[in-house]
Amino acid sequence: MKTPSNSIKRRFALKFLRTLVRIRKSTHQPSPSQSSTWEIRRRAQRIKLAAYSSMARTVGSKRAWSRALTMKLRAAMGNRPWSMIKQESKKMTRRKLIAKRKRHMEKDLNSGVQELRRLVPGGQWMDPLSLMQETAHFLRCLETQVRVMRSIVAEGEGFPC
Amino acid sequence: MDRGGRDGIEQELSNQDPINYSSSCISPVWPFCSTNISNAPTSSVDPAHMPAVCKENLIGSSSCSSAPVADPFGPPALWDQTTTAHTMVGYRDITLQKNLTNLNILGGANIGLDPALLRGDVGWNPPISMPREGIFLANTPGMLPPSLTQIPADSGFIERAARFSCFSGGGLGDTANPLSGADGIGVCPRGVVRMPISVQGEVFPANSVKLLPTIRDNIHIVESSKDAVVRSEYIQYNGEQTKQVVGGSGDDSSGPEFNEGGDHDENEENGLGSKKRKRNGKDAEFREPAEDLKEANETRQKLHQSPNSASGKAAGKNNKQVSQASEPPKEFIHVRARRGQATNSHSLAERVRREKISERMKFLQELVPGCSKVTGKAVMLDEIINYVQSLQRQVEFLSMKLATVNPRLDFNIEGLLTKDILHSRAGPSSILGFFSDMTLPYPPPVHPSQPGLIPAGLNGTGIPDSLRDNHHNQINPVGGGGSKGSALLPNLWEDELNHVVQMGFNGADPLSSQDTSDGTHAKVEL
Repeated sequence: MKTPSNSIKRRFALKFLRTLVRIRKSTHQPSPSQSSTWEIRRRAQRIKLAAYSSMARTVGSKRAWSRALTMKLRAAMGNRPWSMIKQESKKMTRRKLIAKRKRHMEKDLNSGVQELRRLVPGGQWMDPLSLMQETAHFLRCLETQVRVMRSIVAEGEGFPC
Repeated sequence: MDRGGRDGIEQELSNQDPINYSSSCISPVWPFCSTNISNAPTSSVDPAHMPAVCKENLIGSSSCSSAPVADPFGPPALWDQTTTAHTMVGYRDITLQKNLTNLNILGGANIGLDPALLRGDVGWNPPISMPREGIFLANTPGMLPPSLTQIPADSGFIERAARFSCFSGGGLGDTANPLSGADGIGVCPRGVVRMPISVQGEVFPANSVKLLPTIRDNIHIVESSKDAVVRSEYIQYNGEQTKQVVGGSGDDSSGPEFNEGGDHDENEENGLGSKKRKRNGKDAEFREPAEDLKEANETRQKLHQSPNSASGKAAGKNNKQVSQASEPPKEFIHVRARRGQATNSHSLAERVRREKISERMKFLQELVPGCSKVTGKAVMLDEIINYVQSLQRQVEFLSMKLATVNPRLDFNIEGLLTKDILHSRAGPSSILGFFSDMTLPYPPPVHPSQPGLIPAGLNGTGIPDSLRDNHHNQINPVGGGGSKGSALLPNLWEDELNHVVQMGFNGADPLSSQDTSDGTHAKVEL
């Protein structure tokens, strides 16, 4: 099973930082300390989206979850609502896709995989086997993401205010 | 995803220009033929079979090239029958020989060949162009490739190509691989068998990939032939070798995708069984390969990586059973039924599936910290879900933090930041620092001990001030920012303790790069 390596960390870090700079420039406040809670929250939301999108872009289209995440992010960013079904419909017809999802839902009633499907982007359309694989990769990427973000914050914290 | 992909591919396949396969068909077939021909005199195999097989291959390749004429891939059933025919070819060596000798006769070849091979098959339309090929075959097998391309193919040809591709699989990788007599007994149609088993893995995938790269259904043809080959070899040499060889071939075949064969071949098992019995009256030398083939087809389940001694028994049991078509697994690995277990193809596929899932679960277990002791799928799943949720929460929290910290950060030193991040010096420390900020179960061992240890740790070492100041600095902006800030304060002590504990765990000086105070703190603690 593939797991993200240092290269992913590197690429993600670069992308994320660039996005952060952009966000900072776009929402630069004359007096940052007086930013309202709402603004900070909004900024935090954007940063979160930036983190996920940069991670998804780093991983590329190799992984099903990254593709699903990209689609979801596009919808969240405010583009026209992007249906997951549309994205998946390239591979199979819409009806088959929905039927497949239904099948997964029915099958997983007792195994508790439902929750995982909800967590992992694109998990609804995956069969349990590949779901596990995607979860593993997704987990690794999440860890990388968290680590990078933390180090960024720590770097920021290193400078006394 | 995989299924979708496969379905799509199969759909594409039906529409695809079969010419794509012609080139691939020809290449594998050709070396085999040449090999056959060259080795024919030397091998102890019945020489008649060699040219016969060679011709078959040629026909097959020609059918490949002429694919566009017909629609060979339309009905998957075609392939079913192909496999049946192909399996029967082994049995019908005698008839094959006869038929093949007829190939030289215009039209006679088709007629002679088809009924014998395709008894009960539907898809074999006697190729109209067969006579042409028969002529070619008769004249210059060596000159076939150029002529083959000129031959319009037919559905029957394509089937044959698919079928005999497996025969030629042996010749693919090893042109030098002699069709020695040792393994040639009764296996001639499976010239492939002759290959050393170690090569099988390479050759077959190459073969299947070259010939029918996307026809998964047909790959089982290769499978079955390979199995038969392998089996026949065992029976020749040693029953013991069966497991090893099978295991080896299973391992080899685990790489490329092999159709479990559950679908098509096993559908033919009924016919096969009956045919086998019929064949018992035929040459003894064909009985073994036939039996092997049947076993291969029936047991066709995946080869278990560690075949048991009872695998032979299971195979024997399978001989009685006619496995129904079962859903092909994601990866087509050969599996053998274990002793005392149901040998139904359904249960075997289920078992393989379950094993795969458990294997993945184990892998996930390694990823999730603190889950090595946990056993059980449900608990493991819960842990994984918790971990993923916690990570997502951390991301959210960190983004919030970044939103507040952002204005203070001087991104002119982005390069420095990147370096630090990449070197992950700051990574662990920051993780530690923030770990308790979130309601995380991870690391589980740390949390319960916090309340009691905090005062001791802090007072004893005299660290607190620098650390506290640091944390205060961290917390203040957040506190001003939102509700989360207030939530952080109570966790200050946990924060520090985590710092301490985790640094001990990590055994590194993670904070030294950041802060001198933190660095000293770390040193003191460690």
